[in-house]
Amino acid sequence: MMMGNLLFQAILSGILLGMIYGLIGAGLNIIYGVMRVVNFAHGEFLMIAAYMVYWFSVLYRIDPLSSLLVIIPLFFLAGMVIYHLVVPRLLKSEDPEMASFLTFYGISLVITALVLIAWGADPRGLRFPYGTPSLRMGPFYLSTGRVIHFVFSSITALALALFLYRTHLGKAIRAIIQNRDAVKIVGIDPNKISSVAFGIGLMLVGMTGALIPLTFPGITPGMGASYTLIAFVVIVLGGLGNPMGSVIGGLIFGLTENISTLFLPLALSPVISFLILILIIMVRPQGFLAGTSTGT
Amino acid sequence: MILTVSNLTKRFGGVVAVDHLSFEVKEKEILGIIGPNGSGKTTTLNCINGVYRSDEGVISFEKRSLQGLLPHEIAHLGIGRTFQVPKIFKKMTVVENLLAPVLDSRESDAALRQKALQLLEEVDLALLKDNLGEELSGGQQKILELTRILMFDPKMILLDEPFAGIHPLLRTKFHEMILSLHRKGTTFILVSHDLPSLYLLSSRIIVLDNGRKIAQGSAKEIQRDDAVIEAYLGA
Amino acid sequence: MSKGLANQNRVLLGLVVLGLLFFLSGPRLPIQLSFTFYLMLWITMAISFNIIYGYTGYLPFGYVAFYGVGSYLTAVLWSRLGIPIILSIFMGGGGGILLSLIFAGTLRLRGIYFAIVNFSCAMALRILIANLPDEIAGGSFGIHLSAIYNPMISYYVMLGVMVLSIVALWRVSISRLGIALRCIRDDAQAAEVMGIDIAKTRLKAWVLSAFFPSLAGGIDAWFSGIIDPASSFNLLITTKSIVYAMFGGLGTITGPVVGAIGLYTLDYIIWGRYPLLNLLILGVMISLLVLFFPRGIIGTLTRRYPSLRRVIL
Repeated sequence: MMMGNLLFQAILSGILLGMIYGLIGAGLNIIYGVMRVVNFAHGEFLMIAAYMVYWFSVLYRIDPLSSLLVIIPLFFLAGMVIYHLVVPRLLKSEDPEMASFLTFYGISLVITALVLIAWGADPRGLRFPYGTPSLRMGPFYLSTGRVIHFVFSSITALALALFLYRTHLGKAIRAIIQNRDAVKIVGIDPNKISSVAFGIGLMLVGMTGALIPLTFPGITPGMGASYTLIAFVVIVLGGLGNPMGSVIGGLIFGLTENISTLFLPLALSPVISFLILILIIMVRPQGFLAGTSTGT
Repeated sequence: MILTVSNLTKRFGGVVAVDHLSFEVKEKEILGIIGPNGSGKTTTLNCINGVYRSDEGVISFEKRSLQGLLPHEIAHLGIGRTFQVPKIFKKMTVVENLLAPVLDSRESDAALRQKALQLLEEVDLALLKDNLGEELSGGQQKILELTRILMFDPKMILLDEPFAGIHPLLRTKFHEMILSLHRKGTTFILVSHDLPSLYLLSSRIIVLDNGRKIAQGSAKEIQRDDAVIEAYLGA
Repeated sequence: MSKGLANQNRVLLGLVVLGLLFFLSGPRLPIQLSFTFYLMLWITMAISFNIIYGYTGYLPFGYVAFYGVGSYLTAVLWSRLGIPIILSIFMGGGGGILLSLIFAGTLRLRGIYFAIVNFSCAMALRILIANLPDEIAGGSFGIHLSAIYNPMISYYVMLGVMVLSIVALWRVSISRLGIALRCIRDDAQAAEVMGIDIAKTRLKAWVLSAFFPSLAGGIDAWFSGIIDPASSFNLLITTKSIVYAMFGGLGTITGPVVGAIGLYTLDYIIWGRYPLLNLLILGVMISLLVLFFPRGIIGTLTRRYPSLRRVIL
């Protein structure tokens, strides 16, 4: 009976977190799919958003959800700017994938170092601004923050799906992911679309980062790395170049991670992430779901 | 028969590049392959060479199946290959380029270098031996590509558009190289759009269109074949 | 041999002799011994990193795993099994080779996947070692080797390993393996069609590149007297290997040496005063190097003055 409760709790947790992970992965996936750029600094951008929300709250008493009004356009624009500064140069190098991997790794170090210098290594925490921190559902407890984050992520995922499948721009983005060169024939300028895609990718990670303090209490300069790892696992699970597949990948990963904590000591749970990543890349690098109905 | 190709099929997504192609190559002959663009000539060579894995069909060289062999294993069987755009090693010297195919050889470095210099002398490239591949002209690169193969005494050489983009004097030199090697017993498969050269060199020609063989015979027979004329001029 | 070439060779030989004299007299110089020791360590790391990345283009983003395995095996063998330290270090090197063979299968992956998988393996290894029972590996507090603390001898062992690594790289680059590696780097498909077994060649480079960082990890454990999971598997060790090798110039022998000397000295000076700045500078350097200066110093020099290529290798 106890086991059943624990299991159900783990599943619930897994779904809540999974949606969040999925969105992180979706952003990375769009960036990779459209321009084959491996954004190793993805987690660090999430971290910046989290810190921004922290300072908004401490300095101006603005809550995370309201901060989104600033974060969303800011990160979108930042994405486009970074694209124009860095990516054309990268695409000219001999091995754009490796070059982008190293460049963004460098950027991740720079961001981490700057935050470390500016605000120190001590974890920061946000006081929960939306009423009771936990909800009760029968014998189960749910963190309100996670529920809010989950609801918001789900709405965003839906909006993303509608954007990618129903709008002209979204379809163009999916077309570029399939075949970057072919779209030129149809009159689409891959460069313009790519910068928008980069903006969207960063916007998604910024949105997740803004609400992350609701889901995981402490924010530190070094937290980016684990989110970058999660993003990689999720996109490898869901299929490289398949943004909506990342949502499914996120859910799978969230469930796996949370259920495994029932059997393994907490310290070993990152090993699960690594093992999943290694296994899938070795066996099926195009992605777990590639070739299925949700894949490309 | 030194090479037998039966029912070779290669698809790329929905496109069938080579469609149940069958042909044979006699030992010590020069077989020409012609056909309009996209007819599957280069793809066929790539399948023989191991660069592509065929979807269907069997290729056997000296009675031994090439199924599943990697390109380097096929090279070690004695099959050499040149490419439309010469694939020489640009950042390595001419001599190093020649040593590349024989790195597994038991012969000493000195002996291999000696052989390399000799071959370079025969094609008038000896003076450039320490120059980098990228410093050579287009024509010189083509000669280097062919000379490189000779280092491992190949039994059969696949030539892909060897005469493309080289000027007439060099072309004649190439003819001489090929004919001289042929006299010494090397088999050739020659893919080319340069019909005069092809007619001059080949003992036999097969014609491809849309991945299928539409004609075969001597140069004279091919020139008069209706199917060939139609394929080239379009339907 | 032309006069110019003979002169350049003489200059190079002179520099090598000077360098050797410098390192041989290390303990007698008025410089901190740890500076010179770690300078040799980083030269070794950059040189062997170059063997795999500079010559095959495969980036082992978890390179620190070799260093970490070497340091842990050495410490465990010495402290738990009483094996003499030098033998333990050597076996640590063997451990690195074993690790590289175990993960040899990853070499068939595409470059970017190889980097990611390699990284994940290293990080997983770190967590696993940190969570081994304390009696075996000391947990997160690590293992002390203070009982055999001997900076002098460990210094000279490091010198020996550094020289060995440079000689190894030199021998490889002029050997047939070196030619094969450079062919693959130049045009992998052409190399294949010419009969070069890409998988086997890559494997040889991979195993060779694993030996020296493992030895270095063991010697460092001896020199510093203590190891723990965080410092033995510190991602920055990979980062610095990448930056030092790239800055100097990949695919050459002098490149990693020059890069390590230049950047480690800089690193040492800055770290003394502004520790946080180091991370920032490393990050900036990686991005700028990749974007604007991928050939490094030696690479750019040989581009400008191609005749240097004969000497500098």
